[in-house]
Amino acid sequence: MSVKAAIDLEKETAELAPEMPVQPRRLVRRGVAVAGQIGWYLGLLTVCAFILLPVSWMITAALKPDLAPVYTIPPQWFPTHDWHWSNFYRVMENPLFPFLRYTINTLFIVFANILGILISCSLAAYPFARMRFRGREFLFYVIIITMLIPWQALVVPQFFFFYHIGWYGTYLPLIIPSFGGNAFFIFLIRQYMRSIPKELDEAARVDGLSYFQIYWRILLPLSVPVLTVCAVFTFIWNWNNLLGPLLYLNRNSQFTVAIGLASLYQGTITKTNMLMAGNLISIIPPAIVFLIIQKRLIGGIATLGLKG
Amino acid sequence: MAQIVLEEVTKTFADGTQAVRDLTLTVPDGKLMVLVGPSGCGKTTALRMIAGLEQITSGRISIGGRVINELTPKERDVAMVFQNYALYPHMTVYQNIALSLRIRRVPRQQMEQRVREAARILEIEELLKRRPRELSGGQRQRVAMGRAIVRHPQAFLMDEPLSNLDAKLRVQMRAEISRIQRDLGVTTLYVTHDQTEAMTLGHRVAVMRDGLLQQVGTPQDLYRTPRNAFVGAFIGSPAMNMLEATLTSDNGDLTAQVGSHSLRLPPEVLSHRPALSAYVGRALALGIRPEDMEDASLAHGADAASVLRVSIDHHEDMGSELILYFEVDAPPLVTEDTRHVAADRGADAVRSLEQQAEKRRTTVVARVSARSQARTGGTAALHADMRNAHFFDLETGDAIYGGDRVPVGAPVSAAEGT
Repeated sequence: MSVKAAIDLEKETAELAPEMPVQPRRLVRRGVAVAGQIGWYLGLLTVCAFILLPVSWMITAALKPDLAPVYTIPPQWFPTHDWHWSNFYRVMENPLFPFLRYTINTLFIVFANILGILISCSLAAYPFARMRFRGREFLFYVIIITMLIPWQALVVPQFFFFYHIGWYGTYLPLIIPSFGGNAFFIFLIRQYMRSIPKELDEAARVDGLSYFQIYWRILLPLSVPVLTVCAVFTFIWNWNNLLGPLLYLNRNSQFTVAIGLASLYQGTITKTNMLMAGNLISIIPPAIVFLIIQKRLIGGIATLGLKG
Repeated sequence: MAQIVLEEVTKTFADGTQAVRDLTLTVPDGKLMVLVGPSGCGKTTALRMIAGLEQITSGRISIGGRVINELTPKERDVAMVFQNYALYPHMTVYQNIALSLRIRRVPRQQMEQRVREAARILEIEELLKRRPRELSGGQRQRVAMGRAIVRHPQAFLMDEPLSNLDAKLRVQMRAEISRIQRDLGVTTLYVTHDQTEAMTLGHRVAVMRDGLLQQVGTPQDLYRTPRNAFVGAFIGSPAMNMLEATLTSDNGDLTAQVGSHSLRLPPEVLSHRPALSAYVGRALALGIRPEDMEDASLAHGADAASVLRVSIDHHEDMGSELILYFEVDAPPLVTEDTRHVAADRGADAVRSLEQQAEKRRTTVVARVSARSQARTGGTAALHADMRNAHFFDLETGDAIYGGDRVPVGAPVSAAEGT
């Protein structure tokens, strides 16, 4: 080895040196950490797959032709040879079950309810949270107690009531009650508003705001997290509501997605592929809503937990 | 602009507590009045009654000659700065400042001009687009001020606006508030529990205790002629030393006997406080401010007959001066007043006061020249300047001056002038 080569070699080792001092023990520790991470992810993936497997089964079933067996043993979890994408199109285009129409109807009911809930519950929660008046606590407890009445007990009298005032066969019985408030949401919003510093109200009063302006300009914008939670819950409840529309609506053109899905089930002659295709389609709107506001929703629930 | 007049204003809460009792107070037009007192003395309640955030139980409040008892906060035309600033978190600085103008439907162009002007005065022009959470404490404080000044109100009400700032910023903002108030000439009532803030900021200072007004005057009035032991102990830092003493007379020369020490009073003391003669041979409370004591070897023209010879328990070298702590074998003054002041300093202060009273020994604080050689463990001869000494009745805690003692709670008029 020439002298120059030896010097070069020395240089090289010197350059390498900074990366050398990783001790074997540390390497082992790092290896353990990585293995732990992989273990975690594998575990999470397993749980995730377990939850998603039925959805995969639904997709499989939805893609089958009309007469193919669906309830096979063992179950067919993944679509392998049947790819009848037209099933989705067929279920939407079936003149007997106009799914698009149902979706529009449902969205209308859902958003009307959200509007009603947000207006009525925040307006009711504001005085309970902020104003002092005789009987405030008593009234609040009365509202809370209404949560204890099972809704089944109300179905019949409510139906007669709405029938007699001529609202049967309209959307009104499905929408107007939400403008009358909801005990749980009033409670939720009140708790949240109470966590907003009172000095803001006082500053606003000195600034010249009326009680309504304080509500509208200060408390409502600050309550967006809790209002989001209320809106999402209202969305889900109404999207899934079957009994209400079933009771009050009497024309196919008024029906909702929930009714549509229910009527796809026809006992022994059920076309399971159609039923599953319809189910999958009906998941889409709530899924979109969740994707859009999931961050806000989690934030809202988290602050509720902290402050409530 | 307008003066604020409170006449026999009382606030009784639903649970029966009287937060403010018969408060009569005038804040002269364009002046800054500081309402100071320990926590729970009713000063904030008084302020909130003026703002319209609390109902007035009885009495009358007027601003600029207009009685406002029954008016809504909006109609009163006052602006308030809150302790925690109470900025609207969802609005930008601009919107925060502009809100009151928007509510009053001020034309957009004029509104913008006024907001910019307020921002310029407070040097927050570059912050207008930010939200409160992106601001530092000092900046938030400025925005809160901006929200008040943009309205050109009849009066500013400030509720401990500096108490959430750190010490350095507090001093800076204190000067700032003083400057802005002077420039705008708006009548201001400023509430604080910090006597330093009160003294440095107020044209007039009103001291309250237990809902009762104790004394109103210029900072110098309060410092030089406190009306009672409470004002004496509350104003000044470090606080006035108050000990039990006996007054003796020897050929017309008065001497205060404090434990084993005797301090001669120069003749002018009696001429300033003729009522003292009634106390000869009796016990009273002697008050000496720490800054009225000096190392005898450094005091010019010291009266050798008013010197305390003491052993120093502890010293603090402040660089510019020396703070000495020593014990005197006389009990401290323990009355409602001094208990209150101690309570305001914390539970330890109350305990220490009680222990001193039990042992009949008082820890005295002196503030002497940095050139003094007095040190912890050593002895010192300290001259007490008795011309500046204060005297209080042991029973009532009232200061002893002439014969015309004014009871606490009686109407006090704030004389004109700064």
